[in-house]
Amino acid sequence: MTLLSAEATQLNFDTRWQKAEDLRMRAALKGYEWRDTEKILRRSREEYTAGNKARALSLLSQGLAQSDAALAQAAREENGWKRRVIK
Amino acid sequence: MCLRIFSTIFLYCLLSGVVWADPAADQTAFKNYFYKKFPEVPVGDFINGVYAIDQKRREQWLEIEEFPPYGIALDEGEILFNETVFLDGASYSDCFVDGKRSKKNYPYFDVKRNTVVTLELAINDCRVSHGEQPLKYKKGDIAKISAYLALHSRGEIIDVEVSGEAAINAYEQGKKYYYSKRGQLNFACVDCHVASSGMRIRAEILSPSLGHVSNFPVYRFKWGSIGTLHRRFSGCNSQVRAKPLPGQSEEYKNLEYFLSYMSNGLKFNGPSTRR
Repeated sequence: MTLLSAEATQLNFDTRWQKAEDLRMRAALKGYEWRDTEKILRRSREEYTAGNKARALSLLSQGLAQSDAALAQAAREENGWKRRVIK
Repeated sequence: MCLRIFSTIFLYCLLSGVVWADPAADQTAFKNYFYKKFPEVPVGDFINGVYAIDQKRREQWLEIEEFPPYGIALDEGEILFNETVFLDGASYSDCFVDGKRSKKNYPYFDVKRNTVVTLELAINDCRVSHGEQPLKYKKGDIAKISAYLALHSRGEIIDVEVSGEAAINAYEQGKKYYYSKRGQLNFACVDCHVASSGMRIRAEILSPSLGHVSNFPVYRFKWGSIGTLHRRFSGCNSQVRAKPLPGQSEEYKNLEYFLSYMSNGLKFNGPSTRR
C-alpha cells in the first residue's frame, strides 16, 4: 500500500512537473519566458529526488504559476503593445 | 460601390489588428516625444544618454572621459583588428575595406540573408568566412574590436535605411519587442526609457531612449568591462526578470534596427562610459 502511494505520488509529481515544463516551453517559443522559471523547475526536480517533497511541491507550484502567467502575458501582448506606441 | 469595398477592407484590417507600418512617422513621433519632454536638451545632446539630462552626472562623466576606463580595451581592439591574421592569411581589413569600417553602415537589412546585419555580426561573419571560430557576442574581444571601429566612427551620422517589405517586417518586429511588456515585473523597454525617462530608479536616473544606440559599446562600472549593445539588452531583460536572449538573436538584432532607425540623424559617439 505504501509502495503504491509512493508510486502514485511520483506519477502525480511527474505529471504536474511535465505540465509546468510544457507551459514554460510554450512561453519560451513565444519569446516571453520569465528569467527564473527554468531554475525553479530544475530545483523542484532536485528537491523531489532528494526526498524534500514539501519543498519540491512548493517550487513546482511557483514554476507552474510563472509559466502560466508568462503565457497569459504573451497572449495579452500579442496586441497590447500597440497601445504603448508613441503617436 | 468603391466606397463599400474600401470600407469593408478597412474594417477587416482594423478588426484583424493589421498595422500600417510607417517608420518615418514613428521616428517623428518618437523624437518629438523626447524634444517635448526635455526641451532644455539640445537635440544633438541626446547621444549622451543620462548625461544629457543630469548636470552633476554629466560633470563626473566628462572627468572620467579624460582618462576613459575603456582605453585599454580600445588599444587591445586596435591590435586585434590590425594584427590578427586568420588561418588563410587574411585579416579583418580584408572584410572591412574603406567605408565598411564605419559604424554608420550598421545595422542594415540584408535582403539575401533576410536578416539584420549588425557590426558585431559582420565581425564574426568575417572570421567565419576566413576559417576562424566566431567570438562570443556580448563582451570580450568582439566588444574591443567594435569599440575600436566605433572610435573611428565618432561624429558620423546614424542613417539607417528601412525600405522593402522584409526590412519593414524586421523593423516592425523590433518595434513590437520594444513596446511589449515581458518578464515577471511586466515591463516594456518603453516603460523605463520613455514614460519614466528622467525619473529615478533607486540611485540611478533612467535615460531617454533617443540616442541610446549611439555610444555603444560602453564600459559600464557595473560590469567592470566593456560590453556590446546586446549585452545591455540582456541586462534590461534580466532586470525585469525576463529570460535574456543570446547576443545577435533575431529579436535583439531587430530591436537594434528599430532603435537605430529611431536615432537617425544623431551622431555616433562611442565608445563611452556608463554607470
